[in-house]
Amino acid sequence: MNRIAVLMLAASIGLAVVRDVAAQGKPLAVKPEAVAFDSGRDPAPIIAAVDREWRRILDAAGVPASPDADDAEFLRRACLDITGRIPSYERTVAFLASENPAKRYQAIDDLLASREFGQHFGRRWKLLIQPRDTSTTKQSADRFTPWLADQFNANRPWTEIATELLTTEAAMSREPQATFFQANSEESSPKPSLLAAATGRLFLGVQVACAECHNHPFAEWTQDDFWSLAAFFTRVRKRTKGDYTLTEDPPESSGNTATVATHASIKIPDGAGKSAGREVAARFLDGSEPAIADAGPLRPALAAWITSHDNPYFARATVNRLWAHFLGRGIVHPVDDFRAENPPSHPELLALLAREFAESGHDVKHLVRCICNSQAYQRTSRPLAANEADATRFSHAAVKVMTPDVLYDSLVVVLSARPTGESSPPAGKKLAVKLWPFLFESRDAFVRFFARAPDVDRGDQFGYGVPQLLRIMNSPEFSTGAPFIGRLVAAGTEPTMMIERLYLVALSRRPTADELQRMLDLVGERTSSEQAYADVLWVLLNTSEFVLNR
Amino acid sequence: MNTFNLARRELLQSTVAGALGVSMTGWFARLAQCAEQGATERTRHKRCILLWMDGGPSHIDTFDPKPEATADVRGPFNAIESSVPGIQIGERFPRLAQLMKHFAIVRGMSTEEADHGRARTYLHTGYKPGVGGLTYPGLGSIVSSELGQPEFALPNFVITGSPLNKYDFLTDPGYLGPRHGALVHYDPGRNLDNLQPLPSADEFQRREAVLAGINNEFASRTRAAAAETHRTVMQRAVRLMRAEDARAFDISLEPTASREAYGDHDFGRGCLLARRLVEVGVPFVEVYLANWDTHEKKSADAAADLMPIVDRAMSTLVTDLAARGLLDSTLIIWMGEFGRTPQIKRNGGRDHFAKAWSAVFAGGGIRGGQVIGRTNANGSEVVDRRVSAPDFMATVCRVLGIDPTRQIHTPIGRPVRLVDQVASPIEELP
Repeated sequence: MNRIAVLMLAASIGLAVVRDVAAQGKPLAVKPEAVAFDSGRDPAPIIAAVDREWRRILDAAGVPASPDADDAEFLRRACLDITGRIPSYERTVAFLASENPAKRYQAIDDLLASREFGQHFGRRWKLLIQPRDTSTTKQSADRFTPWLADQFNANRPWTEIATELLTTEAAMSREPQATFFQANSEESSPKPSLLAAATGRLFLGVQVACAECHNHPFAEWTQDDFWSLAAFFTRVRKRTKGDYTLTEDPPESSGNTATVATHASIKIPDGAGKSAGREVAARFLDGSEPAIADAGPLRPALAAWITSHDNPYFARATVNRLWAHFLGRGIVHPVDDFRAENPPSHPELLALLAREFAESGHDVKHLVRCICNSQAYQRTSRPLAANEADATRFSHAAVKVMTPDVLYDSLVVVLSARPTGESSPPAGKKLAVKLWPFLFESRDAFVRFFARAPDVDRGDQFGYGVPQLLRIMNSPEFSTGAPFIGRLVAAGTEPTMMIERLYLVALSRRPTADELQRMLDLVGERTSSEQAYADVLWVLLNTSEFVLNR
Repeated sequence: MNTFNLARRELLQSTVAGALGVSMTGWFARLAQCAEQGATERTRHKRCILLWMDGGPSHIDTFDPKPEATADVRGPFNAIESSVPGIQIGERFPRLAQLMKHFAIVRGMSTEEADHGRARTYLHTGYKPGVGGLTYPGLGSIVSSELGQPEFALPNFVITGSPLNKYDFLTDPGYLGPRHGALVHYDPGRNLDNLQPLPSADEFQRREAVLAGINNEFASRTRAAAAETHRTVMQRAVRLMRAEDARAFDISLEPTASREAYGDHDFGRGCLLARRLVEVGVPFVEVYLANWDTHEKKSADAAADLMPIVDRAMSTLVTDLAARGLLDSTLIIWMGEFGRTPQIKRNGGRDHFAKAWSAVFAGGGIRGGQVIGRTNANGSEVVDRRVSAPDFMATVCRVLGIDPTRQIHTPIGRPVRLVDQVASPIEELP
């Protein structure tokens, strides 16, 4: 307990400011806000069309949809999915009290306009592009997540982001834009086969990597498809002298030119099955041929094809990934496995969203608006007897598991909750309360401890084990209450109000009568004891309901 | 559930002892006594320690040396005689060579999959990944389900060590469900954290009872798999907190001499942890040792440095278990996901090779001092007693007393055999 006392003291004198910044990485607010791109398209007709398609598939199968989620369930889900953390007490109370019939639409817009939207999407896409390295505890500063956050917050068209990532001339391991190449390197040189596999997975939604060594028995992709995609990355290299920038220029030195590709083709390497040694020319996945000069860059041609309005893969891959982010399952599932034998559950829905995404100039926020305002997204997660077995028609909302980042931010929301309802408490108090959790644990260390298998991206699977749950149950960070409890107790708050407040803070809803009674029993005689309410908070933080996004 | 409730009553009666801090590691002396009574029953079943050489070690550099082959196949290491006449192994394993009477070397492993991820899954489950649209349980989950005791306070499946870059441990229990997932304990050198509740035992008990009720209702209301898994893991965590035997995770309780004998390395500590865990009845422990993926000279040199670490830790594990009378009931398996190409490349490395490689067995009642199967002169083909991945799985099941032909019903009622029916277990081993 001594440690806690010391740390509380540190908090009260504001020692933790530095830790706050360190935990967040580069502060995002230093940049003047870019004017956010907005295609200005009306989501209403798209939302209606999404609802029609969703309903049609349910009706055809005779599966009923679960009722609408209530306001509390909706708000918590939207906050978790859009901003990566549970709503604050103040937000929840205001939302539940509001009688504005358009309050859900408004809430989605507000969340999309918040800085946390970019942070959350930045973190998710960072892990997709550059998985966490679990083999080392040494972490270099992550500058890619803040860069992505800025792109998402400025709502930069997804085509532009993809093009920049694919064609960048930034410096490897120094500039965030070079991360896609950094992540797909061997011995710190960009590796065509890794780049081809990642391009397929991230931007085209196809698993061409299976065809690296052999023609896959189930997939339509051939070994030639894979290597002709890889051929687009044969010229890119890291300048070894000076600045480590990426370039496709031939090396200046006249030394060993034998290893330099001046052609737009690649030799299938030894060990890659029967075709090893054969030369394959750069060619797009749909079979069309690029117009390529003898020298000069290849990547712009690939990026232009991928992001062109008519590309059959790009828009639907992005749309499908975003749908899966919100609904817990892709229309094509797994999300990166588009192929004839793995058809979409809702082909028209996928086509309509992909078309709208392309028409809107790849406006990500617009797409999120279309998805989150749909009836499919706003179902309750509680199944009916008649739709319990349904896993593919979105008849009831998926129960998703908080990722380590989301769990961290949500614990921060709870532990730094303010004792009163006012929106801006005095500066000194705010600091001490706000920074409380950072004293114990930086985000990096927390996320590493809770990190799940890096190649698992299934939001519906609970991947945490006994050590992680023991941490939330028994470590002083999360089991000794929160500062706001003491102040509310000192202010003489009634037990019933205390418990209701704790439910609103931790679970973003009011307790049922039965739950209230059980918690009153747990508090028992200790109605003015801080410890008694810390017990209640402990129970709430360890519920399945807290760690799940229902 | 009944036993769990009974345990609760026991707990309530012994809270005084808990509150006074009488017991240092578990908190309830009375429960500990019950656990000890259970321990005698547990010794009946066999256990298994899997020493997983992640990345795939060269068979020629380890347990299938080719002293007669040309230098580009033979590699940098000589062969040495073992204590069993006629059996030679790589010179980097002198201690294991002296214990050869305990070992059976299977030199005919031949398993088709030469991609790390796919081969790891194949050799852990006996089924190729993706086949039949099912996620198959790994050996640890199978043992947990077949030999583990549902009410055992410790996890029935523990993994420790370090996996290869970009892969994590293989822990998915597949259709066997979350109860048979692994407890992942990354650092064998430290005790499990957070085993002690912060408030008094009495207070924890009150909180936990309320929590369990709420979680049960949530799981039945949402009927979501994630809620069910969370509830199950939570129950296991609470049970572990109450278990006296949880001190088995703390290798600092081991005498210095014993820790030194296993070696000052995570793998040595992992082997020591494995011994402590099987001793209290954990039926399956897997210890990972990464970095056998020797594509070029630098990594091959690094892997050569792993060999003495393995030699020391594994030989100590065998003698330690034997001294405690546990070797006959504990099967030790040493293996990776495949072998490496016989021909050394110009850059000094060897690539992936699934066609012919070696695995080593000890303990568990197997007949030691023998080599089963044979590869050709340069180690590139199996010429006698080819062992496929299903054969291997069936063999391990047989040694552990698990029926490999047993049909399991998946949660959706689909029947599936523990081990693929094409399997034929190695007859010479038991």
